Amino acid sequence: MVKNYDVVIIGAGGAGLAAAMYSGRLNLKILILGHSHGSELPVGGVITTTNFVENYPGFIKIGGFSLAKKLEEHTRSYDSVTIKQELAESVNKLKTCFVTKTKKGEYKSKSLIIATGTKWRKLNVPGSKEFERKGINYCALCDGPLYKDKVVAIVGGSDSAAKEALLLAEHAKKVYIIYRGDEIHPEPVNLERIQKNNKIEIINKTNIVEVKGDNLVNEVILDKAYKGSKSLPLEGIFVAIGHIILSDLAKSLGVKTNQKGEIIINHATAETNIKGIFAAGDVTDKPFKQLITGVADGCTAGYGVYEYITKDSVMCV
Amino acid sequence: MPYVKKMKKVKIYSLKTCPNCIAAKEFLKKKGIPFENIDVDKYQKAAKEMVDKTGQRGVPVIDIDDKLVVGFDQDKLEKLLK
Repeated sequence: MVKNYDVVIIGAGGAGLAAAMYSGRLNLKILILGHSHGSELPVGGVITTTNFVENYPGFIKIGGFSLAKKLEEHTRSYDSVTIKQELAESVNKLKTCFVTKTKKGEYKSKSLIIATGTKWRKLNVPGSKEFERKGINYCALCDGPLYKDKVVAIVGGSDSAAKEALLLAEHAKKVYIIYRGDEIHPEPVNLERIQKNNKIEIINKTNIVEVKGDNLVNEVILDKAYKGSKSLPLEGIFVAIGHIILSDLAKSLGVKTNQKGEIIINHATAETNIKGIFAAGDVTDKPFKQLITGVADGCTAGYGVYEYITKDSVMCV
Repeated sequence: MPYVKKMKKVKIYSLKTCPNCIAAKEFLKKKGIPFENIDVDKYQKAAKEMVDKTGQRGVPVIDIDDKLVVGFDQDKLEKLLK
């Protein structure tokens, strides 16, 4: 049996939850579908894998999981909002509405908000598939404590990579940051924290070319020698080398994306090129991606669909 | 004699900081399923037991009557708990 909604929101991270909260307050009937592509929770999104958030206005320092729970609670407080943990497998466009299909149901809606976000880019070298969950990880918060007193590496040079390194240093004996560029580029406060931490050693201008081990990881091979050897013995690798935009579903509907696969939106209204489809958060072509900017996008999209449905008196045909 | 349904023996290997571990425990609590929680960061022996049982180093691992679920797979858990 097909269920009817004013809006189906695909993605239940920060942007999706904010869109649901905002449009729920405007008495729209909302279904929000959440799914995890990795270590993050299906409702809450990637912020649930961040240890502490210090740049969300209103909170000097708060756990990522706790912040996500607050967003979720606020969203759930509106009776017209339904949250389901289901993967949207396809969307069909009818004359004036959309039918979203998951393994568990079909949902008709007058409009869509795509807030599918991103997933972690995986390490792609010999050994990286075989040793996933056997020493290769994507979330220091989730798995860091399992490497107590061991030697680990974090691959990447961003602020996220730096924060992961700092978290790992609370547990591991030694943390290498392995970065392909000239210098890592975290926020100044995190760079200072790293420089003061004598467990962390930075290896710049270097790549991992192979992951080796028995049942579990025990070594990586580098593309250039470090302290006289290309072999670096360690037991854990944490990968923070960027994200892949999850826009395939949007593309299947004819939604325009840029070269990176980001959905192109009108940033004032969150509309895409397809009437009735809006987008918000990390899946869009916004230049600066943080939880707070994704949440703001979500509210813009929530109001955008409200205007769209009420002004044009959209009916599902 | 009234029929008494045998309770499944449920163990969860988890870390305090792991969001999927928290979600898995909340799921079990909501269903009223009693479980033994093993913090693998506190007990190295338990961490080794988990790695030996599953051949991998990731949490949560949920053991339901010796059937193992790696990660918080709600559908798999529902089927095993029936």
